[in-house]
Amino acid sequence: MNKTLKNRRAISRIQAVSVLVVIVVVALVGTYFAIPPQPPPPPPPPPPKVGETLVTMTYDDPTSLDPHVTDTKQSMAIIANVYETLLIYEGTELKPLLAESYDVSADLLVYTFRLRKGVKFHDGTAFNAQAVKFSFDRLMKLGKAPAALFTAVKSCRVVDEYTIAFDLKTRYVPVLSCFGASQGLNVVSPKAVQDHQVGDDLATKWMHENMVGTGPFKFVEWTRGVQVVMQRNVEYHKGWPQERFLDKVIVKIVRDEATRALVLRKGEVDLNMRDTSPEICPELEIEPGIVLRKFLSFNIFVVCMNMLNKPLSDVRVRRAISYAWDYKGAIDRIMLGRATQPYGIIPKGMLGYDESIPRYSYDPEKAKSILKDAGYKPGDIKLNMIYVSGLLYQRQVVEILDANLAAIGIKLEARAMTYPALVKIMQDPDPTKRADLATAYHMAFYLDPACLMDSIFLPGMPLNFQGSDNKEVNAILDRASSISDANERAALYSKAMKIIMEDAPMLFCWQGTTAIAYRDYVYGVEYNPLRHNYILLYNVYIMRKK
Amino acid sequence: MKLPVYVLKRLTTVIPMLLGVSALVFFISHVLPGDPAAMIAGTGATYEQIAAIRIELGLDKPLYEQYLAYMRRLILEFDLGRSIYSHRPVVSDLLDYLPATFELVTVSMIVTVSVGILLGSMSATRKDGVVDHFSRTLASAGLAMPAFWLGLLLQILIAHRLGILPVTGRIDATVLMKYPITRITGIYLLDTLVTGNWIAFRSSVLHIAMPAIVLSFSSLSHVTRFVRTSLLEVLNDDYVRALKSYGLSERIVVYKHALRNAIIPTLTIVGLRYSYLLGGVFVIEKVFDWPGLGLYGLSSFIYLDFPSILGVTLVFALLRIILNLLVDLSYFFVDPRVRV
Repeated sequence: MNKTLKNRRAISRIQAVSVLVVIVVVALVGTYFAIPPQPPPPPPPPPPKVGETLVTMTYDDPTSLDPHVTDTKQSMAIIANVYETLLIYEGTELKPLLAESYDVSADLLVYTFRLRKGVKFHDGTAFNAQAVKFSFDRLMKLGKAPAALFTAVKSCRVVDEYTIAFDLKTRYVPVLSCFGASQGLNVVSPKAVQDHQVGDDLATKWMHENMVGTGPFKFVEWTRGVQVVMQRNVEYHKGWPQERFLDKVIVKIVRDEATRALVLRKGEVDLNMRDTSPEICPELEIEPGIVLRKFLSFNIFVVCMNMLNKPLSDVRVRRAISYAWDYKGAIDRIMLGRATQPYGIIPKGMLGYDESIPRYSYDPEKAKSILKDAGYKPGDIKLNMIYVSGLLYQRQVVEILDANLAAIGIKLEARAMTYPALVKIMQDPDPTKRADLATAYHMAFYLDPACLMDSIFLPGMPLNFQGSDNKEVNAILDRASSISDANERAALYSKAMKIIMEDAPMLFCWQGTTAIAYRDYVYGVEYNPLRHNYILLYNVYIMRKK
Repeated sequence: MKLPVYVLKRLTTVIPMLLGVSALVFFISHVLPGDPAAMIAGTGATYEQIAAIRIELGLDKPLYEQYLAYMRRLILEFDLGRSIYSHRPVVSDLLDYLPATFELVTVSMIVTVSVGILLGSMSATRKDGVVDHFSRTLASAGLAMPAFWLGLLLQILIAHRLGILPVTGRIDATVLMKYPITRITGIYLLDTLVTGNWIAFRSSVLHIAMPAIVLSFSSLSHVTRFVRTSLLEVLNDDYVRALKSYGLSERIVVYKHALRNAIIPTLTIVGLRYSYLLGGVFVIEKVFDWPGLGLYGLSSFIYLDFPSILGVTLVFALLRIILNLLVDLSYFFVDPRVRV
């Protein structure tokens, strides 16, 4: 309409801006398409064998890369592939690794290991008995979680360059198994520690983010919160006789369970080191290109009952609760049938597992009559429970338990909290401050029943949330760890478990199975229940179909 | 008042504010249940081991002593202490994680502001039209949808079904290994651009797209509504009618004149939203594995890593203060009336 007051410029400001925007956008898009996705790599020299890069994932940043400081599973994913122990578990067999053979003295107090010769650390220095002693002393001096496995050892001495002996304070037969635990005595390069020591910190700052071991893979770099990169140790002492192996490994950190399933399906990651939970399994099972394998795990999920405080100090109440829990129903609903009801704390597959140990069954009527005979009326008992927030199955356990207890006239009040907070409450020296019920997932990481029995049922142990202190059981456990005959030990553990069951200190809910998922071009993946949520990669290789 | 005087006056309030925040957080975090010494020691540790670690960390001293020691180190040496969990100086941790959050939030805010202003203006000028209803619905949807749910949904749809974008992370794992990024600012987009690392740049762009879009979607309603409301008010003023009667095109009237007057409330909300996001995106960071301050702060709280908790909170407080100051300063440039 009004053309007289038209803008004098040749082009209006808006037009100029639009043209500029178009130019910028075209330039960016052009750059994007002009840059080829991958520049052609320089032609590599023909490799003698085929090595590939594996992209795997774990669920959180490593706590530390120092094997003498941490035992968390996400850290072990790296540590177990870069460092080595004297012995190693393959399946349920204890095999030589850095030690070729060993002797146990007749009095069961001296363990002597003869070490493999010609092994080198990643920094080129030689592996020998001095290195083992150095590592052991460092482990015990730092006194963190991995050191707890060797509290029975008094000292370690070098016999000769390739022979080392461990002297125990008292007889403790399970210690042999501890030498095969991946989260136990990992051997580190003494030179690396001494070179990077600051004051007398034993190089903890440097070793936190650097690794010098003897393992099949070398540490390359750690981009915090993102990934850890490892590369093949060409001079690994076992050699690389296989046709195919891994040259490089990237351990990505993918925190969310649903996202882990997605990246695996999309093929961005080749192998999931962490257990795949039951609700995610169906979608991975039907996906072409993905392999899902199930293994027996040694993890036992329990609900601990605080035996030191009313009303759970009354064993009849505990027994009633043990009859009120719907074992099969919970396994079907929560674990989708992928678990079994345990016979106590010793898992199937371990010495001392005994199916003659009586266990409770789902019998609400019996539970009600036990309570009635003990003089409790419905509504008399109120219990509080704590569980770990953010884990679906724990919520489900609480819901089922709430319903089961309501059916027998017990009221339940549950609170979610972080795992550290839960542990603090259940380790409170004042038993009245502990919750009545708490969830716990007990895992065995070396193949001896003492791993679970001692740490959970002996008084004063940090994992003894429920406050067990049965004199007879304590005596049996003490004896069982000081004799060497396997059958006799099994009988003793079985006997102790039967007594413990009578006491009903906890609900033994299930022994789970682990599902490991990976792409179908990955081979050689093996899961060992003692190494839960991490995989050893020496035998893993990739072979893609053309 | 004069600009330098105003800035100076504002800056003098920073120190007391930070002191107050630090004292508050220090004492609150020490009251929370949990024991950092037990966490560090690990599950199998004995009580003696835990006690030894507690002494090693100085956690057995009385609270006020711990606080004084902490403040002394902070003020005299700019040392925020050492993280109990990562064993690194908290300052190093913060320098690692802050750029990631900053990058994500900034990119998403750029998208939010551009789209928001555009949609808001179009809604205001064509009130109750198709665009208006569409943008208001979109904005409400963004407000109603939980960000993590939208993130997971987009991951399934776009990353998996359509395969256009990657699922998680800041960059492709293999790309990061083969074409490492030289750290200048810690902001991948900038660092790769400046060093000419095109492969990594491309990968970073692809990876930031989804989380940035999800984040901006959740902030869109804030900007759109404010722009729309303030613009509607302004468009009714006399001078706008005068300009229109002079024959200026609508586009010039709106974008050059009216918007300027309407922008102040929007600036405020953008500033508030920006500082909120810098501190609160840990859910998106978890879903998209974006190693930022949100995730770091979250794990500090779970593990009761006191030095980290304090470091993170102080950084958030400082960022918020600086951002508020910048927003206030922007008023100076936008609105001449404030300069008097």
